[in-house]
Amino acid sequence: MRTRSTIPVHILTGFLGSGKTTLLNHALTSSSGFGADTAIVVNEFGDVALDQMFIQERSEETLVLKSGCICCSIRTDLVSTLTQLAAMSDARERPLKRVVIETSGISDPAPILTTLGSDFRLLTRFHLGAIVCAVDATDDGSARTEAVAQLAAADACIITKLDLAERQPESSAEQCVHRLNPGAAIIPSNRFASWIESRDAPNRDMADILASLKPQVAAFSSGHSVRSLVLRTASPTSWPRFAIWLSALIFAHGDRILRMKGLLYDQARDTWLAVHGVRRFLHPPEHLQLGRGSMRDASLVFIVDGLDPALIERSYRQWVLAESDPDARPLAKIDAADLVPESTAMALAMNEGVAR
Amino acid sequence: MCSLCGALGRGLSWEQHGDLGDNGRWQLRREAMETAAALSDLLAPRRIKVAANPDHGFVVAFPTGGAEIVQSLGEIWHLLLRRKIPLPDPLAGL
Repeated sequence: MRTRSTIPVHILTGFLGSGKTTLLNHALTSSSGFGADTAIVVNEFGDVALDQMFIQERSEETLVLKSGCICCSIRTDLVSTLTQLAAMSDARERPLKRVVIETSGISDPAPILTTLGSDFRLLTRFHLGAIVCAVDATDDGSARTEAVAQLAAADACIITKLDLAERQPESSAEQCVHRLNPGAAIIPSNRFASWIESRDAPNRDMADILASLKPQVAAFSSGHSVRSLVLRTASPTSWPRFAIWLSALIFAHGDRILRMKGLLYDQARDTWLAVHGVRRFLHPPEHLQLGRGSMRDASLVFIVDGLDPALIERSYRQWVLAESDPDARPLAKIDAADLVPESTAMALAMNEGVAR
Repeated sequence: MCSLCGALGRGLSWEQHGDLGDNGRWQLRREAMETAAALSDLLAPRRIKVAANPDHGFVVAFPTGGAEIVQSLGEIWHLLLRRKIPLPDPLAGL
């Protein structure tokens, strides 16, 4: 099981020209920015003198397995880079406190998450921290698929180029972010470093955001089939029932679930449970001591591409809340025979070759 | 690993993580048994039975008499797929 003595790896993502490098440069050069205990992994780097920092410049080398599932793509470059960083950290008097990876503008964050979660050498030394997405305020909302995936994966967003956004004021950009990723925090650009540092350890920010969301179904923009669903409902009566539902859902439709986040009350352990994932990659669930009194409702956020959010809500009620929903059929009576959609069959067939 | 695909890596699966408290092994065992019972209900139309395996993981028994040990929920879905057994789809409607 992962322990918190591992080094957090944070990801800075964002589409081409969204201002990632500017953010990183500022965080590295300002007095309130990252110190020498922060390692930076970039694809390309600018002209900032950073002799005191760990800087690793790497071109992206991605090993794509036969499955074709992007979540099963391994960033081989990242494995070697992080292994080197771990060794360098061991040799230093002051060990590393965190690693920040700046992705390229067209990168999907999913393979990075898979790499961090699949390599046992890395698992003993690193764990995933936060994902921050730089969002260009001047973007007109017709973002490309890669940009939507990056924004959907984010735990927090930074709206950039506000001074240039004459027709797209900050509030408009924030609305765009909230529509697509209602669970993401929006942080000022000058707080990038401090926010990242605050996410080295688990904190309650995400839980507070999820708990404050109101139920909604929202579409991203007319050019995309991306929609978000905020579901406020009773917490599952048992973690195993929830786990079966989520695993079956993501196994069958993970390629179209860009992001999921959830805050659940775990009755068996009398504690709160935070779950979140990007596509088919799920982070290990985290138990949180929230002290939310008698409030036991679950908050679930899904960002989906091409799926009907209403079906997700219905399936949650049928599979997870069967005992408490009088209209639901019990789990035992579900007969899914002949109901495997073509896309599922194809995806699973492709996965078969790499399953073991 | 791709936690639910189970495509890569071994060890504790996604659903077994978390703060298990002082009675971690007992808690895992109890949850595994509850999971197995719910899976058996879900797969009853296929005449497939799932039992919690000692230590961790599950034993999946097929109507033909065969049985396989899997480590996680994700591996169960892969196993069904490999045997060409239709998978339960939460969104397919009831």
